[in-house]
Amino acid sequence: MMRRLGKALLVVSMVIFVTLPALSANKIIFSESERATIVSHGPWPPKMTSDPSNRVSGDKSAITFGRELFRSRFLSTSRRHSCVTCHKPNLAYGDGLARSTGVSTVDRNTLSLANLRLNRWYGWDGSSDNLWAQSIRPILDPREMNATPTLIAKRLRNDAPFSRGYQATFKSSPTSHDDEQILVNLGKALAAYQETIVTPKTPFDRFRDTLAKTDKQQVGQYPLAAKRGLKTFLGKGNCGLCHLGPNFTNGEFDDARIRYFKPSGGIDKGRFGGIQKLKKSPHTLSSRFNDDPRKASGVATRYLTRSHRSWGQFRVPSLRNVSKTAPYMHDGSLATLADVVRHYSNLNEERPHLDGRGLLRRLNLTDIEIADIVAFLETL
Amino acid sequence: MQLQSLLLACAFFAFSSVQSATASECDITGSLHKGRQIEKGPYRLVFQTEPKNVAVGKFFSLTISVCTTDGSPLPDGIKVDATMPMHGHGMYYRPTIKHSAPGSFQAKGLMMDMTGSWVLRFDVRQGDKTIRMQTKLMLK
Repeated sequence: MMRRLGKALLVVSMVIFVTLPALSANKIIFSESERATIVSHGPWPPKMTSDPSNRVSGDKSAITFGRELFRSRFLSTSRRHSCVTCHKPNLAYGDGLARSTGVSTVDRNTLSLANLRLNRWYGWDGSSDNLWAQSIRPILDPREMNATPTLIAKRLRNDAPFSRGYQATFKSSPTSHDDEQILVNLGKALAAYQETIVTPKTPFDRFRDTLAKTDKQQVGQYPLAAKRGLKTFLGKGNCGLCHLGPNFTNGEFDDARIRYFKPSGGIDKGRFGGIQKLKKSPHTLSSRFNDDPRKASGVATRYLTRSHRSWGQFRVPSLRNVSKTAPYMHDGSLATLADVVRHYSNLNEERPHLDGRGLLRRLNLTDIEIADIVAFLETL
Repeated sequence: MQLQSLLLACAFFAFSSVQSATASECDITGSLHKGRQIEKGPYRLVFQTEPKNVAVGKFFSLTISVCTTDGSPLPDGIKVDATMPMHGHGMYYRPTIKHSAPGSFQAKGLMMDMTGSWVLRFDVRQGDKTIRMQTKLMLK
């Protein structure tokens, strides 16, 4: 009996001896500084205030009217395309294609529509400084909906259901507004609807919230690979340089070393061209269409400067919901998240136009580190 | 005798005024007493940010006071910029400068878009001479 008990104790102690080191090896310990950075990626969702430049932002009638417009083919000249053509709700408001196709195929990937109220700039090149202007842009683009203010205004005045929606939202009949005003108002209704698309709390947010409340680091069900990936994201990857805060972006622009050349020919100027377009746009926050009489929200546009550095830069996208928005980069040239992380791992540091040192460095990640970062990104 | 007294009084007043435009403004016990101070050449520069804590991706402004420690003339202009030397770039935004009073400037429209070490640069100009003064800012 005693011998049997002794054997059993020996087996138990061996199991403990073998298992404990393995368990501690699986523990990911975050430093104080890393913990502070993780906590700074929340809380989520942040408080989304209404847009002062859009008097119908947050208005129920505008949201309903905007949703109808968003789904309708009313805004395209051919009546064959709607916003949903490229922004499909079941594809995280993207289209799953490398490059968007309306009337014809454009040069850039469709940006997902979520958490838009947090943006300072809209579009890959930031050619809009507000969401209502960005909502007008594809309506007028000959490659997308190919419409004109005159066509849209005429259609609206002759369409009873949409006229009623307009009247309910803007408290005026479309017959009392000029064509340009109607177009901008439709942009504002579309913006009011799109502002309601907010991504929910994620496994990362739950891990972050637990970390913010307690010293225990191993609480919750956050996957180990995601923890390792987060550690690499913050450390060796230095991804937080641009992907910071609750929305995992600094909201500005950088050169991710993707090819300059557009599939249709020529060079995509990126942010450099975007600033050119912004400065010429009649629909900026500095324009008469900004409903904020103080124009306080237009501060970024007022101080914005165009420099050589902006060539080939594109907006740093949010990483929220990123696993659902493939393919990636401004031209959709990277099919999977693993391809994106591998791109930064093997980055070509040479760039013809760069003045001085560039921001990005080759990360030289291992296959496991790449897989871990992807596991982390999938929890956002 | 009366004329002499008057001239003496005028001279004293003029001297006092020059003092107040130079040395007394180098006294930082005023509204900027909690500001950060830089010295280079004849200049002492004090600045404060608004808001007090500069955050990544948020616009801020600067209240700047410059004086001379050797009685030389106050600057007639200033340029402000911020750069990230480690990454070889600066801001995407060009601040506007208002020369609000002798030696006093307001810079608006600064924004730093990344965490890390930034250098805040002040190009202080007097006539055709410019002196660059700078200080580090760490953004977390």
